[in-house]
Amino acid sequence: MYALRRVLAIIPVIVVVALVVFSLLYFSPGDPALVLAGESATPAEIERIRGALGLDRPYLVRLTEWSFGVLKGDFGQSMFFGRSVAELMLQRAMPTLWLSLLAMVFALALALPLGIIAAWQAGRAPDRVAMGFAVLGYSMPVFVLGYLLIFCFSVWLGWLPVQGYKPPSDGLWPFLSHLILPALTLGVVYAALIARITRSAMLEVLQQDYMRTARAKGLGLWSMLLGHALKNAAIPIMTIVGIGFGSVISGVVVTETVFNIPGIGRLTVDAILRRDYPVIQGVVLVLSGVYVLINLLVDLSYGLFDPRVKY
Amino acid sequence: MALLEIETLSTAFTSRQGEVLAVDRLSLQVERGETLAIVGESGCGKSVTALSTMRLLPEPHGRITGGHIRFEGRDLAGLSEADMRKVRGRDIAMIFQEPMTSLNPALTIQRQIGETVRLHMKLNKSDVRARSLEMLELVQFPEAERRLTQYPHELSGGMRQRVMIAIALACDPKLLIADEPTTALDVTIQAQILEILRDLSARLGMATLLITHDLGVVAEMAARVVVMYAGRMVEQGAVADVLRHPRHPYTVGLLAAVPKLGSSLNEGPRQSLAEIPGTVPLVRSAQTSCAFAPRCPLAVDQCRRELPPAVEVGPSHVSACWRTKDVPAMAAKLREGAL
Ligand SMILES: Nc1ncnc2c1ncn2[C@@H]1O[C@H](COP(=O)(O)OP(=O)(O)OP(=O)(O)O)[C@@H](O)[C@H]1O
Ligand SMILES: [Mg+2]
Repeated sequence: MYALRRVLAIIPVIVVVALVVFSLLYFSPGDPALVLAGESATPAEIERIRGALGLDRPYLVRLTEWSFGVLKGDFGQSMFFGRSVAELMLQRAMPTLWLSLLAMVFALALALPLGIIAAWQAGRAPDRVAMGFAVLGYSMPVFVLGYLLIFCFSVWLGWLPVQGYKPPSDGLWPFLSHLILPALTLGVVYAALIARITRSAMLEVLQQDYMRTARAKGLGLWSMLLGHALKNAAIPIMTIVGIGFGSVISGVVVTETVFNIPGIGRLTVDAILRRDYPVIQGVVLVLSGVYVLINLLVDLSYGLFDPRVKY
Repeated sequence: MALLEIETLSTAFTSRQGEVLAVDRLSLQVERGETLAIVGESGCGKSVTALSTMRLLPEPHGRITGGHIRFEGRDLAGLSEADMRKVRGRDIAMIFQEPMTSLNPALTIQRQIGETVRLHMKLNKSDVRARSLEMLELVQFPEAERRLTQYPHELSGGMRQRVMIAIALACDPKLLIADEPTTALDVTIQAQILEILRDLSARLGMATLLITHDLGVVAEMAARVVVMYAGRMVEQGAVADVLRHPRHPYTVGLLAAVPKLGSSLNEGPRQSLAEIPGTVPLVRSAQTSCAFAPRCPLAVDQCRRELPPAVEVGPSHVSACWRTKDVPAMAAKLREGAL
């Protein structure tokens, strides 16, 4: 019942996002017809392009058309690539999906141990070091980190390729080796976020009476931290995993540009540079949908960790 | 050799108010199978004594600064954390005052009982379950089978304390430390829990260190009692001797503060005794005079200058008071005055 309510609650969110995206682009200055026609085009030519693209029709007509299209999975035609937006996005989806998935794995694999150790050693050197890394990771711009990693591991050590993307069908190592650095770049901000919340959530749990009970049973450090404490700290951690996914989505744009990966992020940049409105609208809408969906899954996962949560 | 021999134990805390000596050269023994009670006002160091024995102090800001804790001859005070883990839960188990917060809210009852069994008794999965069930039945847990898969929030305070007892007794400990196991419960539940504890410690032949500030509980449960004041033992002996013929003015005050057996000494923290003006002092370093002197009607100059040694005042009855000879007369006067 609760789950159903939560799923239904997504609809208005998506509608508002769609409206805002469409309107913002509609009312923003800059004319795609001008970009498309080129420097030397005559006013008549520009007018003809506008007519062909339907840019001269009123706001409400275009909004309605676009909305009904989206409902059918049709995000319109790209003005520039000469293909449908849906097709473009599908074609670019896989690299981005792999990239963000691996970034998430890296982030969790880094953040959880760091946060747990920091909480356990609170106030001591390991805590200071871990949280120092978190602040660093959080405040370093994504492209700086990306170039730093490329310089270190690709140019200097020569262990990994500099740029590009290989699909999994090209073999596991080519696929992974191209993905490791971008995923690390993308995952670091996310990891910093998660590590800080993990630390504070664990710190609070470790002071609880039931942790003293756990010690009084003769449990070892790891059973206490992982078996008893982590599950109680899971809800704030999961929440930040959901909310922080926004940093992955925005990081994808920069990361794919730095590492030259033909994914959704690059598509977005290309579309923005060319004022390819249908593509921008489609991408923003889909990414918002993904974000909302991940946060829904996070909400629904609370029951797994806290038996007091009832749906 | 006694099962547990605490010898001149000192435990200190470093806190915002500076250094505090919560336990000051305390000595006591628990024999195999016996129940020893520790009584005293709030803040006199009862819990700290228990936590020191289990080595559960919040190190490094709370730590043992001196003395020995010999369990079956082995000094726990100097044991490594790894060795201590094998003692906790298996040789010495502990139940805490707050049943509402002492169980892990995210884990099932079965898991919380079972993990001790698995850890110390090395049983396989189905034996662990059987043992968990057996323990719940031992503490008279209704519908034990069904409730194995429940979580703490589905249980009342009394039921949770039963689970705590089941966890504590699951590995047949030789010593159970019960730190005010019934203080947080209402009266009828208190009686049930005490009944279960008394019955099981007799049945399992287990020694119990029972911490309480309820003299009624002492009279009902324990064979011997240690009276603590400001981190030190002030009187010790058989329950009948100490409660009927107290030989320390503080014990007399404690007894006078109880209108009838069964009511508790201090409802609130640090509440002063009606019969003894003043409160427990904060002790910062090893005491060099009697800490009770400022509140004691019998206090003389010597009490304020010299630390009274523990002296034998009867068969296994010990009192640490310079004026212990005058205590019976004082107690009699107090009784007359009260009548
Ligand atoms: N975590 C701590 N940090 C600092 N000081 C502490 C801490 N725990 C105990 N103390 C000090 O030790 C003294 C004795 O505390 P303890 O908890 O042993 O009292 P108690 O006899 O168990 O009282 P109660 O009946 O209220 O449980 C306290 O007065 C306090 O000064
Ligand atoms: Mg206490």
